[in-house]
Amino acid sequence: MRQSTMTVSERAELLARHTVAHARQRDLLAVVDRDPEHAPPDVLQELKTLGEEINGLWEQYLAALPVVALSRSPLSGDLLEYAIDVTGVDGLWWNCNQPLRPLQQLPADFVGLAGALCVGTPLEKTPFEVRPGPEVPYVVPRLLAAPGICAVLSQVQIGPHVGYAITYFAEHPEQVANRINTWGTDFYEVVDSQGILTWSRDGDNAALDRDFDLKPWMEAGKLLWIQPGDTSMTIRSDTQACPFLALKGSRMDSVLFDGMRTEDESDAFAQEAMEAALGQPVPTDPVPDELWKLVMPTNNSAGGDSDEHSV
Amino acid sequence: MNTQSDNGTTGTTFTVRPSDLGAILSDQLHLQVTSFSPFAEVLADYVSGSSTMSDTARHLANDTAFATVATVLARPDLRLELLVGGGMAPLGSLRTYASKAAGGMLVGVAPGDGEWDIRLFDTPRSCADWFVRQTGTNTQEGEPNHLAPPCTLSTLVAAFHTIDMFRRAAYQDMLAYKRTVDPMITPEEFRSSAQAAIHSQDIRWLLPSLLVLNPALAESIGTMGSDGLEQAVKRGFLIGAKRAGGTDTVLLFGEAGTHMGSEFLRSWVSSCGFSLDVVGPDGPRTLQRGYIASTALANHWFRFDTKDGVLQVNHQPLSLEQYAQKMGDVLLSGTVVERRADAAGAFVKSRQTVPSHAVSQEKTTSADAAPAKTPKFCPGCGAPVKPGARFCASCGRPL
Repeated sequence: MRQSTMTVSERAELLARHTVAHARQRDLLAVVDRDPEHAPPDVLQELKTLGEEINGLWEQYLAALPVVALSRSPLSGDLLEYAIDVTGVDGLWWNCNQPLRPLQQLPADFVGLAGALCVGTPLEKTPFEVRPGPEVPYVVPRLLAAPGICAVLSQVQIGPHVGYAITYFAEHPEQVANRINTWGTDFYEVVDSQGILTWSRDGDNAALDRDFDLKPWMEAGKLLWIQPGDTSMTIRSDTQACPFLALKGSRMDSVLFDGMRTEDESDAFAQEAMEAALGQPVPTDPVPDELWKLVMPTNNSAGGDSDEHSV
Repeated sequence: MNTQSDNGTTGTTFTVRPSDLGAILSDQLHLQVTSFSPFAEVLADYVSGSSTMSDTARHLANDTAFATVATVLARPDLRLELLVGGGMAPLGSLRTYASKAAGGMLVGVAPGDGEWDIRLFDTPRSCADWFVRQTGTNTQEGEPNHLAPPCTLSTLVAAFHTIDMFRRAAYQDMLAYKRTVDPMITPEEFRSSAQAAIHSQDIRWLLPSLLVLNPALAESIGTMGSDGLEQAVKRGFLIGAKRAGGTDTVLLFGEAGTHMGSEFLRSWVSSCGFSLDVVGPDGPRTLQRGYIASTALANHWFRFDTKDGVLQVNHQPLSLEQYAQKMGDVLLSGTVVERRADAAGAFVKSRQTVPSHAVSQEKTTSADAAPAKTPKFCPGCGAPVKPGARFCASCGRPL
């Protein structure tokens, strides 16, 4: 385990510098994109400088990330020590579109890390989207029901928020083809038997394949847990004393942006809406002439073809 | 000689009298035995030509299959020692040997009263399957693991003694024709009875069976230690409580203690201790040690590892198939992997290393696709980059 080598104020300053540099970089990239072949040399030079600055900030951020004991394998007993930004969700680790995460040393039987986050206050203002999962922990039945796979539920404090890590382990991880997206991201990575880094992502309907009723999984021996605050990370299987069975919170995915929490539209809802829309008249009627005339005056006075419009 | 086939999983079995071994091995087959051989003790005082051969012995000496078996047993380089007992089973033993010269073949030896049963197995897996089906129980996966690793020996001792105490309370209730609600015990009673159990050698109880079937553990156990009791409470085997109106602490059976106590009370079939030893240039050494307790709910597999000088216990409740797989793995680790490896740790899996920032939003695999090979990525943010691009379109890093 390793504590963060950066103070809270140093981290805040780094993130602020990153936000400014990243915004400027985005603006300049837009300039270059307009005409890549004739990009002004001073813009290219500034982009180069900004790139180096951002790289430096990333390196500092990664080097300062704390490594926490997040879980433990019930199969091998190995501790899962994970580099994770526990200071707050405003860290680049939590940027769902471009998560900044270092090399992770994972137990050999590790399969995947899912998560949930009970959002506390104050909620950090983030210039990027954070998708930390629902507010209460869950399991993925298609994965957990497979033989030789089990999961461990543990708790980790993320600034003012309470995080729940659901870590999956397998007796034969190499046989687990379709895994789960890593906590806070929409993809997962695997080092294959040849040592090659491969990646994939859980399907768009992944949120539909969740079971929030944890007790039966615990009773079946498939889901184990670690008492919050237990520094020895002892794995437990009893259900009577389990604090995770009485949690209350939204089961919808949270989306955090600029200090606001919204809920991701449930895929089930979207699916229902799409199904309801089927059979309805598709809005493909031509624009009414009256409207067309308003926005695109025709040259009727010139006696031209009514199908041709000019400005 | 008794020769038979057993459902295709094993080959031939032989029955031989130890008193015939000298004549067969030394006089007829002219085999030299090593100190690791099961014949070593029997042949230690044998003088060549000093015994007359029985008809059975003569028959065996001319049997080519037995000659193969004898060759393996004379100079083995691997031994799996199994001690069986506890639950409903009396104490017994089986030793399985292999020799590099004989490839994957294994030979099991079960010493009996005046006769040895010898069984030939074609492969480590067939040997494991046969043994597991003799001693294991036909259970399904899914039993909760109340002793998930890492678990120390102290924790295991405390948990096993809790199970025994639960059984003891149930038997006492039966003898007294009563039903005790929430049986309790004081911490001092728990510790003193654990000491008595450790020294009892009575394999009808789980804790003593652990020590009898794994003799090497005796030197590591000593006392249960206070951390064992703490862990038993922490893992839900015991619950600390106060007597009504009193101040002294008592222990009640927790969820894990009740669950496993009931399981072993009602259905403990047998246990087995194992030790896998190989002979190398520096003499014999132990590769793996473990203990299995089979009940109607699970085959409880305990593997003992030494980590940083501390004995660690890895417990998994297994189905019969998983048990066979594990036992096969144990034998394979010795017969295949260990022989191929130069170092003892060669078959230990390395940890995965995953650089998590190597991928970005722009990935486009289907939901059900297996992981795809990584295309060219920006070294900064990991986003895919177009051939010839001067900057990363995602993070702006110069390429």
